[in-house]
Amino acid sequence: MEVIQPNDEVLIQLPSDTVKLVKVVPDSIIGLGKFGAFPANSLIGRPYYLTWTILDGDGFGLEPVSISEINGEKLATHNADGSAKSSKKSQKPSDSSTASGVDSPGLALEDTAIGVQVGEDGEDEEEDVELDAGVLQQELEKEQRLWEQQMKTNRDIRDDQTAQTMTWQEIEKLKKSGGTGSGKEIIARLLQSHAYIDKKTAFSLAKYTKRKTDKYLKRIRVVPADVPNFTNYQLTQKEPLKMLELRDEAMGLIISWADIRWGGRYLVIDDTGGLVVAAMAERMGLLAGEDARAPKKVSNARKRKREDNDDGKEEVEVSETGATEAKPADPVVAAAIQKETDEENMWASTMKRKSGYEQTQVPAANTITVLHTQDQPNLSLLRPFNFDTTNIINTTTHPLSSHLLSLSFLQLLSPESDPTLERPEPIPDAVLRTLKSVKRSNYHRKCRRQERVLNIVTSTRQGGFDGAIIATGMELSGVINTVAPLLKGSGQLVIFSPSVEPLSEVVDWCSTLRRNEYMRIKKEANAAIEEATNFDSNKPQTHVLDPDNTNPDIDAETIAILKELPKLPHHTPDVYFPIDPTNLLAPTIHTSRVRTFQALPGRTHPLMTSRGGSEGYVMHATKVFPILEGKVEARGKFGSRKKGSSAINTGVGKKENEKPKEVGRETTASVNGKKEDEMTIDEV
Amino acid sequence: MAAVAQQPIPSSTGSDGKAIVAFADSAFLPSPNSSSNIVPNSRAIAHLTRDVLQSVLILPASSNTPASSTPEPVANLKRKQPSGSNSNSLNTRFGSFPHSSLLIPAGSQVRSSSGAGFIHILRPTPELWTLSLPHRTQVVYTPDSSYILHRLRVRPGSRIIEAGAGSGSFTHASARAVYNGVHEKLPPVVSTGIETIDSATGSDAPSIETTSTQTGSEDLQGRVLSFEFHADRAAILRHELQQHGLHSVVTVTHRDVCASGFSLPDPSLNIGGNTHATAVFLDLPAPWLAIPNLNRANGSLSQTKAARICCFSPCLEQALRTIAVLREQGWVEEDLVEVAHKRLEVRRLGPGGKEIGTKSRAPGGDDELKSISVEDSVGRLKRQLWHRKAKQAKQRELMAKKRKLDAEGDGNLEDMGDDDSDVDMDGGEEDEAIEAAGEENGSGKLHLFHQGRVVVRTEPELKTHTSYLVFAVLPLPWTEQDEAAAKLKYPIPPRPAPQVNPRTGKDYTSGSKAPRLTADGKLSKNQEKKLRKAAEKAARLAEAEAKSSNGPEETGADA
Repeated sequence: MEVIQPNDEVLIQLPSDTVKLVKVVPDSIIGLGKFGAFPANSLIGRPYYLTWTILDGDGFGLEPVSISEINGEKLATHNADGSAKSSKKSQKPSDSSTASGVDSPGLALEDTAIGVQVGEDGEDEEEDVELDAGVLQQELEKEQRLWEQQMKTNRDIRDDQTAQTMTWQEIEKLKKSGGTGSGKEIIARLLQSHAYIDKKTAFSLAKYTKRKTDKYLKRIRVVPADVPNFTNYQLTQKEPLKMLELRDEAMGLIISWADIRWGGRYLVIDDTGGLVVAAMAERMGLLAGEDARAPKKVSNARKRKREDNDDGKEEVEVSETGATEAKPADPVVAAAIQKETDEENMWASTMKRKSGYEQTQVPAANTITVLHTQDQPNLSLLRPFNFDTTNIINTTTHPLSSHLLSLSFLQLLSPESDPTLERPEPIPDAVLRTLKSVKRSNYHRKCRRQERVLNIVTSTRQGGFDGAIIATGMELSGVINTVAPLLKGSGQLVIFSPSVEPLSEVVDWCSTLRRNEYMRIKKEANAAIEEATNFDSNKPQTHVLDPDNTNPDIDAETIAILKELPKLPHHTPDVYFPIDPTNLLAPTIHTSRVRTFQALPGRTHPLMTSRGGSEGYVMHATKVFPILEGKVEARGKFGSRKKGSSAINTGVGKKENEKPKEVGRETTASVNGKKEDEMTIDEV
Repeated sequence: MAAVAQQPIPSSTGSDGKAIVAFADSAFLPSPNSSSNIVPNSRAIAHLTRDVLQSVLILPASSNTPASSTPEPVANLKRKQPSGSNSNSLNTRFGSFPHSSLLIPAGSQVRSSSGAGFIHILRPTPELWTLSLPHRTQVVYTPDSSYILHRLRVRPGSRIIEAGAGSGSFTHASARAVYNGVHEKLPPVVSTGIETIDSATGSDAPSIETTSTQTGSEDLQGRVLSFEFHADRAAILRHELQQHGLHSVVTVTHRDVCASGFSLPDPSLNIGGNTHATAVFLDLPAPWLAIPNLNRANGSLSQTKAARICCFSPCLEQALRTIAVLREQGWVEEDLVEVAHKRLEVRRLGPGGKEIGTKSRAPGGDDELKSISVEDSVGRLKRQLWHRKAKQAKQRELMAKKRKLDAEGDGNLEDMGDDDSDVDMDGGEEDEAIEAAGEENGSGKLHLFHQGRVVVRTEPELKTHTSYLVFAVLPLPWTEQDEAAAKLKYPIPPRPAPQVNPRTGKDYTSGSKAPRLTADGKLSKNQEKKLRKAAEKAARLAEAEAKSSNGPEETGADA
């Protein structure tokens, strides 16, 4: 059963249409301000998406509201008109159309809109078909006439304080009486004592009833804090700017176009506080499951493993796990270990183990690599998903702690400058044993961290990522120049921006004219180099140490490893070519917006208001490898612009004949071919 | 983490043995060991232009009669024959590309056999496939499908029912979303291709697997259970999925779900007795007829998780009728939305309102010079007037000369004509020179792509409406017995005495500032201290007041 577990973060939908994020701590009290309070224990062990009434007065806790009651209210909203108390279900479907039309003109509109045969089988449809057009027309006209005759308006309703004769003292008294009945009684009395209640139209009455229901019944619904729910909460209730106003529809586009799948390797630059990472993790199966539920220290798992190994070196870590830790709680951790070992076997990691430290290896698949500008990534929004980012390096059994790899731009581009990559002064075992436990564990932690970061840097620089997502306010040219070379061929680059301008710039940097010019210059430059130095482009290049190294006394061993790292392809940006335009194919900008409708019978319309702010734009492009030798031109046959269907599948021979006529009309590429002659070269 | 880790269901596989997970051999799905090259017998996408993508099934170089090995299930169903399926080369408007020339790293630019044109060859993704697939029905495009999958919480390991598979666009997208490795032995795949490295590991993994997952109800594999009532469409889709290596993830069943329901898609499929889906996508003309077939009692929906549904209907009437049925059937959180998606075009707008790099620059096009600015316009008009005046003056002069000559007798008319044309030419040349100077930048070099400004506009053909989406959730059933049992398991404490701030009189029983009990029922030290201090202070205050005057006692009463 998927139920609310102790210490889960849940979202509570309040009667005021707002949502509250609450952690369900056992034996605590959850307070909802004016809506009252209830014990957390009355939520634990219950399924999500149920509706509850907060008990008042003597009772303490929650009382479930049956779904049929909630939906019944919605289904019967149009029936609130006093004359038509009979519920839809009670009527025979076959004659309901006419019957209800006569009984209650208020229903007529609804009937034509959705049909009363709701929930019945196909019989009625056949009848509908049998009705010929003339009869149908008559029916419609009859209903229309009835509707007009008895149509109520608000012309006789005076908007003043005296309309409601029930006083607030009376309401308070009823409230005090307690129980769930009190709320319903208040509403019933309110409706009774409203002066104009029978003058209200059905719709207005329904609205009035709903308003009062929300106010007096204190109903809440508990929904899980998964990525879409949490996004909406963050967007409407918290600080949308912190997450770049990233809406669900944009998130969907990002995740889809970036081709996020279980088993892939992805690079991400996330200024949304971790929301993009969370969505990716959800799609990679890294947020669900027992391990992801409550944070558990990995040291427990390690301890367990050590019992099997009985490795001398591990023994020093006993102190680290510490006496403060509770006993390895149970089979769950054991299962986690089991899973972990399984997994290691399964994805034979490409990274070599360098020493005895565990948890420093980088998984070969299903990873998210976060590139960040500061020392630490800002992934604070991962907290509701039970992932604490303050200890990002493998401290819990949470799937993310091993599959989320984080490194700063400094660590990627100039690893020798970063002190975390410096190996701590080695301490011989004999000395180590004599040290205080705190110092010892510190030493081991440092060593482990160095190994882990080194592994992350190595694996990241080797590239071959399946896709990259960039959601940042940073200048995009630099980011793209860093990220694009690390992508696999045909890998997807997806950029999200709250405004369109940064993205349109990127698209312009890849325009056909610019790309052709760049190719030409590059080819000439390459030819010149090859002539001059007999340059071998096939030889793999390795990392050239940063001359600006801020960490000069880094140990030799690390330097040796770093020197072996592959050289990152470098593009020198200039004013004309901020990024290498040949790397990215067909950058395209999308924007998507969801419009929500009020879906009530006879009263369906788009919501009157919705959130403004940023539209949210998603750009995607595909990483490609251009042909550098020889001249490449888009020459071909171009038919009509409609789908180009006629143009496809034509033979080569035929194409040759028609070429002269068509070239230059539709393709910008061939236009450029001509244009090139007029352009002089810009020295890059 | 391993696929096992994603399943919240406490599984027996965790304790009794290993759940072997193998990567599927599909170009749509990841396989960490395989090369990034396009391999034979796989799907690839040829990128011709942004809007023209052609899918191609790469055939092994050795076989010359490829079509015979995997025949099309239905010869031709309102469907273009995918190009290249009959020959060993891909024919496009940019030339012909032999399949052997496409066995290169994905993402490479490829020159055609004649050398004249080029394409890019890409690894397929559901998005690219959506743009290149043969249409059999209306296609669910990426803006809709991405939003639907996001809202339906389709994750690795989920089971999704899709009814009305149609052209298979949504099928591919959801197959990617549910995929969490392949857990069970599969029927042998027709493979004539080169043996890849991971096919070896894949072959021995399932053999162990068959013994461990006989338990049935513990099927952890993510699955798409696809239903299609059109026999030929179902057959073609099945064939396509087989070609794409997705047959282990998707089960296509030929059935009318409105009449026959969703349970038991295929008796031979060992997935724990029934569909047990957590997500449902209905792309049917009358979803309200199928919804009553979706319930927990008949096993079509998951017994342990909330189930989510999305119905995709183009008309508002359909959507409303669907919602009414959903409400009757006990679904909650019903939501009616519409996705409005736009694709934007980015252009450079040159001076004079012309787009740079488009056909407006083509010879013989609209080459009339336009003014760049007000000053320019004024200047140009002034120049024109000046020229005209000069011309008129000259003409007057000439006429005068002519008259004089006429009067004198013999005249040279041809000279006069030449002079006339010279004046015109001068004016034109000057304009062009100024224009050219304007386009030239400081170093005297011309970069057309850097001229003007970047502009963004909506693409010319806009999809203003695709369909209405109806979302809803079916919560797990919760009876009074369940509630009583839960109350017993997690006892509810009595309502605590109201905690009132003695000074302000503010009730913070339920407020955030109220001292919270820790898990073991004790207050933290800080909180205890605070409370004690507050109590002391209140007591002192009360004392002081009582001493000074026997007046109002409201403050003391609460303490």
